[in-house]
Amino acid sequence: MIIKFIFILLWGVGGVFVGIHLKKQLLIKKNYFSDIYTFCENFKHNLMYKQSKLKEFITKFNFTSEELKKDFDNFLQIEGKNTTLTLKLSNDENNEVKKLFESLGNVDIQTQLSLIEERKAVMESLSKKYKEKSDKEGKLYIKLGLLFGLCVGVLLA
Amino acid sequence: MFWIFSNQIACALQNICLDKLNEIRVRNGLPIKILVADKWGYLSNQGFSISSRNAIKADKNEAQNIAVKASENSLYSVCDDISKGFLTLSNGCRIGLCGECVNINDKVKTFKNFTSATIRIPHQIFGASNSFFNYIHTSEMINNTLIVSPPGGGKTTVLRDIAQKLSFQQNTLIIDERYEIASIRDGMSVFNIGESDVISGCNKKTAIENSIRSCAPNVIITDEISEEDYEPIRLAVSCGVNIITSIHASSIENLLKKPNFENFFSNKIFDLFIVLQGRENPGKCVGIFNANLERIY
Repeated sequence: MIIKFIFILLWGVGGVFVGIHLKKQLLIKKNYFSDIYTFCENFKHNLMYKQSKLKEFITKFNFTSEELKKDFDNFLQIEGKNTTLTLKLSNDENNEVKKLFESLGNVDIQTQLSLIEERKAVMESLSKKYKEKSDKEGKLYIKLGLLFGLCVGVLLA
Repeated sequence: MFWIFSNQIACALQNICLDKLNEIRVRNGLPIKILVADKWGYLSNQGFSISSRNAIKADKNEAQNIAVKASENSLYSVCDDISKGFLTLSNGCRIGLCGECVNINDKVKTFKNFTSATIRIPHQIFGASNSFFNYIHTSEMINNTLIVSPPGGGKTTVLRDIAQKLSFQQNTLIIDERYEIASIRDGMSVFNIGESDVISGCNKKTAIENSIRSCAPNVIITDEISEEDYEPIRLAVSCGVNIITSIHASSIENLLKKPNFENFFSNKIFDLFIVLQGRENPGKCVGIFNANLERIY
């Protein structure tokens, strides 16, 4: 009896971990887009004042998103040609991020400033979207995970 | 220098004798032309070609790609240089760019959509000024000198050689507005300029006014003056600083036709005018004239 109880409980805990993992994926995306927003903001200041070379700016930027750091490392290696993104994003989100990489360093300063402002706005809205998703759906995933795990545990027990 | 080109062009250039390569002209969609020694030809996969039949054609975005790579993928950081129509690489190569002008408030802000790029490769030639150096630097004095030549005549190469020689005898300051004479990168000159001081990337007016106070040069060497440089040059000469510089003109007669040049002549700013032949024979002196424009050689 106790063994069955522990078995069901373990399934429940497993379900919770699955729910936490799904919530974490949402948070990773939220951090990813938020980090791009910060990058754009800092880059805009670089354009207005110091105008450091792109490689120097990227190397010195303090990334909080590991995935974004990998994408920029890749970008630097292949000099921006068809940068492959680390995160699995939707087609639209993929295109929005790639627009940033494609526009970096290829245009004059006025155009660069305009493009960065545009990218900032897009990234801000994507970051907000994933924050709201992780707040609303994150709790739901954990609850559903627990419920599903317990159900499976009960059925198997 | 090869890193600014596409792979095909970079590979083809390795079949050219780089010591003799002076110019590369890239026009979008057209065969790439090159100047090797004094011969114009085309760039093929095997190297130099007289015929355009086997020549490598530049891609439709080749000039843009060259500009982006030359700026280290940071075109936004070189808008000031591009607004003047050129970029300079760390090895002293100058890239002249043609494209669409972006005007803001009737001023040229920058260029975009580049259509062609002309890459001029400098070479240090020790002794380039040997044939006329003793006219510039006599036993008694240094003459304020204007080197007159059409584009490609070797003015910058000659000025570099003069600076290198003079710097061991006089406090010599090079005002290197476009990073071509000394081409300073990371605090070091790419070329041998002897013991010269260098102010880079600064307009002549500011550089001359500040350096007379701070560096106390005996000689200032600078490239490609125009009529707006008259006042700072006059200031330098009046402070006892010798000036050795250059100007674009094919002959003394054409020089006198330049708008507003008469100030330089009427006030006897220059003691010596040295005329170079031009692109057909870079660095060759074809005439030396005194302050009254009388031929002395």
